[in-house]
Amino acid sequence: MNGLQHKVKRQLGRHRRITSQVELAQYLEMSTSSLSRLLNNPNRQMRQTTFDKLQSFLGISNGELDALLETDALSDEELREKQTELEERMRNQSWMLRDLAQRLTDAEDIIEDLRSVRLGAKKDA
Amino acid sequence: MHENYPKNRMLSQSLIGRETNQRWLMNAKRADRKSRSIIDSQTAEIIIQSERITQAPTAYLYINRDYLQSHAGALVMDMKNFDPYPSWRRRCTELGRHVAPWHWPEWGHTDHQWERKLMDIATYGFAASDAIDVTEVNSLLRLWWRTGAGVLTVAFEVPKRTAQEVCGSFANIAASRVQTNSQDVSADQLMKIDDLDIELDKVWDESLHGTTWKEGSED
Repeated sequence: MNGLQHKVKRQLGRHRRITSQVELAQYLEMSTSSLSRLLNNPNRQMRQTTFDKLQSFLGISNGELDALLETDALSDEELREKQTELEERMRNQSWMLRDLAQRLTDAEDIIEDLRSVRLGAKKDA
Repeated sequence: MHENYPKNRMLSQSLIGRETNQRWLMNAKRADRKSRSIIDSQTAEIIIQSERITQAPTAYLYINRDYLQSHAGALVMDMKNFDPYPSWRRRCTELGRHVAPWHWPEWGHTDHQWERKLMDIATYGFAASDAIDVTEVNSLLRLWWRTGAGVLTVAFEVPKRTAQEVCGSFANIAASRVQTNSQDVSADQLMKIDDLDIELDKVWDESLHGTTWKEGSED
């Protein structure tokens, strides 16, 4: 069972009106066999209207559904690789952000120093 | 795992694990987008502060993702990381010079303190140089700001006296950082610099498809 199948199954048990795959297929305006194919295929493609309706049915955000579809298409190993890549990127970003904050302080100090140097030069003149 | 462990529970646990991973990935992506936007706005802020320092408009930006990268003993420069402002392009046309200063004959010739500058960038996080002249009265003032593993260069054409003043203030603040012992020294970066052996008159220009440009050669 992939992530979308799992989420759909769980939501069918919770939803007020749509409680079966047949009803979900009707809501998505597709046949039950098309819905089965859509759910079974981890490399699925869907129209924007189907995406929007599915998102509304699942009660999740655009980003969440995007991530769900994207990660469904990944094998466990690819998913781990993606996590490692993102962890590395986030570590670098955190380093950059700390450095940038310090650089802004440095720039302020340099401006202050320049101001006093220029004032001193004016007084000397 | 116990061999009588229910199969559907194993499946459900692996799904929960995958769902947790997916949720982590989604949150990480959101954090990544937010971080990138903050990095962009703070980088813009650094450029504004640089203009406040020099009291001049930016000539060009150069974003080096890894400033300690070298190739066959040459400093790696790449037009892809180079962002000249239109006024700088016009100015270079006016002067009959290449828009990228590493193609100028003065490059490397006068910039003897490059290794010292790398040390300053690694130690203090900032450095300035006015070693290259644009004209008899103006200098190419380059300000380097370290941002993680990378360095942002903000360059200006300013009168020589202004350039000297700015370089002086950079040195003053660097000295005060040593006194207060508050500098953010990256030991790894300092060790890398020790291992570097860059010949200053050589530039490896990646955008020229792997050809090494040397002093006096044609563009």
